[in-house]
Amino acid sequence: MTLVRWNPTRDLPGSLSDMLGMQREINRMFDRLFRGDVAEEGALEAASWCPAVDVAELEDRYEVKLELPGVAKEDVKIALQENQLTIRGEKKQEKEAGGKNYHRVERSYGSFQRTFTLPAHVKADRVEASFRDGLLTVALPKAEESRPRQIDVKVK
Amino acid sequence: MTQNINHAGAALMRRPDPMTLTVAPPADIYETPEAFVLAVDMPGAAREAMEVTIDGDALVIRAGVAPRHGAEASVLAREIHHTGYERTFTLGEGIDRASVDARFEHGVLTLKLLKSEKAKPRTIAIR
Repeated sequence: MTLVRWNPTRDLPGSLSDMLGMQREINRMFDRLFRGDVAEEGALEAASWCPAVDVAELEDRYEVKLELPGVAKEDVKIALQENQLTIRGEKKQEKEAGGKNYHRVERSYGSFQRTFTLPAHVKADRVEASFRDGLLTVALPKAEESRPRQIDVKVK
Repeated sequence: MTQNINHAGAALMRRPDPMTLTVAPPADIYETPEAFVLAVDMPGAAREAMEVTIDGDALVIRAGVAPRHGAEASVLAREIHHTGYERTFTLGEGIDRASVDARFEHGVLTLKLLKSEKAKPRTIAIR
């Protein structure tokens, strides 16, 4: 994950037009407070909800797991640009025939987008995704040059 | 802004109980002429470790989560912390406790609770 130096003065409100900057700052504070996670800046503005993600590294690949309950696999798009992975999609509220009278709606609907910068290059043509029980797993095999290599050093 | 507060709320709900590492999964409840339907988001829940019990007025949903990462994986970023789901709903008078239909698809548990005969809407014929 990329680390961006925090600049406390960058988003300080100077006028009403800076309100968005302040809102972003509040979003970041909430994120840090409740999740301590890596929600990318800007992602919240384009998306109406934000699925939770785990990123794991294995010897030969990276694995990205997203919680996407009730999302159809046709509604998920995965894109890779160099080592930047973007997963976007939409969770549609199912429309059944007959009158539905909602008493409670707690689940999130609408579009989402998450973007990650992977620490090393991956084999773009070998990326695989599987979707099981609402958990999307994207496996990204590491490119040869970024795999750990063992070098024997002879001591004279 | 409201939406962002909702985000925070959702994140808060996702935060598992520190002792049990379970979360209360978000649910939608809607009513049709013959039933109440509960749709509960439980991504990654293990079907074999899932139970739905009705005890009096309490409907309890419990599920475990299959391990997300193997022992050889090192987790670089973790937002999914919970290891299980648990939530209790209180059933009203008009629900037939004997006929509950449960289905788990794409990480969503859907429970169909049929209304008891006396709670169903009736049309009265006018003579």
